[in-house]
Amino acid sequence: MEHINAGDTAWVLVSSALVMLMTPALGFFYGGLVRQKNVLSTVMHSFVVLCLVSVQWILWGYTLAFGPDVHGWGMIGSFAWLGLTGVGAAPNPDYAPTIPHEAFMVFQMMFAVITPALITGAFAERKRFKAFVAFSLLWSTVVYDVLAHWVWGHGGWLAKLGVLDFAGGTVVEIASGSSALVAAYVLGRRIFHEPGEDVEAHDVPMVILGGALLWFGWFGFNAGSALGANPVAVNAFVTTNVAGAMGALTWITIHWWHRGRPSVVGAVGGSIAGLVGITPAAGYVTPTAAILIGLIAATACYGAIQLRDWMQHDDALDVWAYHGVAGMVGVILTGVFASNLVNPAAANGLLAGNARQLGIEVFAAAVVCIYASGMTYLCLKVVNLFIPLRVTESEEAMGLDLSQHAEAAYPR
Amino acid sequence: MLIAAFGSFAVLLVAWALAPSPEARPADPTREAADRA
Repeated sequence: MEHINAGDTAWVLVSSALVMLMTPALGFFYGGLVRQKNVLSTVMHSFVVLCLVSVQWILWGYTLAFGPDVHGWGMIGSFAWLGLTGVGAAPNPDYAPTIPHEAFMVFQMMFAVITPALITGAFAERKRFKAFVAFSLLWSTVVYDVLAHWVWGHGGWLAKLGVLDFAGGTVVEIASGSSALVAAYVLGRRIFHEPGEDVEAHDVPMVILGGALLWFGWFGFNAGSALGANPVAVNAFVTTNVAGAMGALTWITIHWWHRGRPSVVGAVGGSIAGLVGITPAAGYVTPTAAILIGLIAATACYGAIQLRDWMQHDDALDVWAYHGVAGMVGVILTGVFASNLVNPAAANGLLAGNARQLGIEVFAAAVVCIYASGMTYLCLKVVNLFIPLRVTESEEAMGLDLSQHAEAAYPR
Repeated sequence: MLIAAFGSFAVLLVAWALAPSPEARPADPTREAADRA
């Protein structure tokens, strides 16, 4: 107990609360973007994932992700910490030597919560509620927990390879983004939604509120990933803020020239792209590098959205572009800009003379994308054997708020 | 305690799986109002 640092513990607990807030914030962000007949069902997706994964993580998720490695293969954690057996006040030096192990666990729980919630934007407005619950629980177990072990678990094979992922560019962003793309293809297009048609956000202030709360929560997400109140956390805080800002400014600029107006929804979306881009890099790069990451991530994300119709998918809220593409950009640029002058515990990137790190980052991004995509396809097909993934055509026309929850967001 | 925790979560999940879908319920006035709108 004598090794516990009060400042570190306080910061990680506050960060956990900040990251927790991001999931309902995501519900507001997504909820504002959909049509008003689907707003409650969209918010409900995020809220239920928060509840579902909070329990799953305690019972079996945490031990699969961070438990002692099985056979030293780096593939999965053992059941040793099932139900948090042995996870208590004493620090675990493999993960965070200055805070209680339970504080580390709850911080990681919030990442496990938000990741499947991110995917819900891809199948918004057409997924059956029961199928969504079954899919989320299955996906959390066989995709998130496994990838978290590979990248962040003690003995994880990608961790041993040397991948740098400060706060979840691979585990959270690429995993959710590539899974979202697969989900969009498997579920198919929404009815009454033609290719090329943009669904207008039904409540732009709600989108802004959600986006602003996501940005606020991202300080916990990234700076909290330092697992202590220390200089690396401060750097992550600064890089996070400036990358989000640069992402928004970049998006406004591109949209203004491309569509002739500085879009409000676009500004919020651009900040999200910048924040996603900096996520894997936040504790490894300088603030000036973060400006470039925000710019490149937002540009790539904007480009990916323009390809939506060419790719013939109906990823309703562009999860693939925001999280998959901007996440990949962030992971790859981590391999370019990482500097151990920022974080003495980390490897250098390409610009500091270590080209190998860039190769590791590209490899990890590809592996995570392929695994998440393949397993998501399997999860959806398995769930569909028991519960139809989509609502019926008449239910979709009525809207999911009424057809799935018998409630209306704006009763008349 | 561990078994009880797992058991309670499992009971909830089974209850959700067996729960009637909304369309099987008696008509909801809110729903009817929205249908008319």
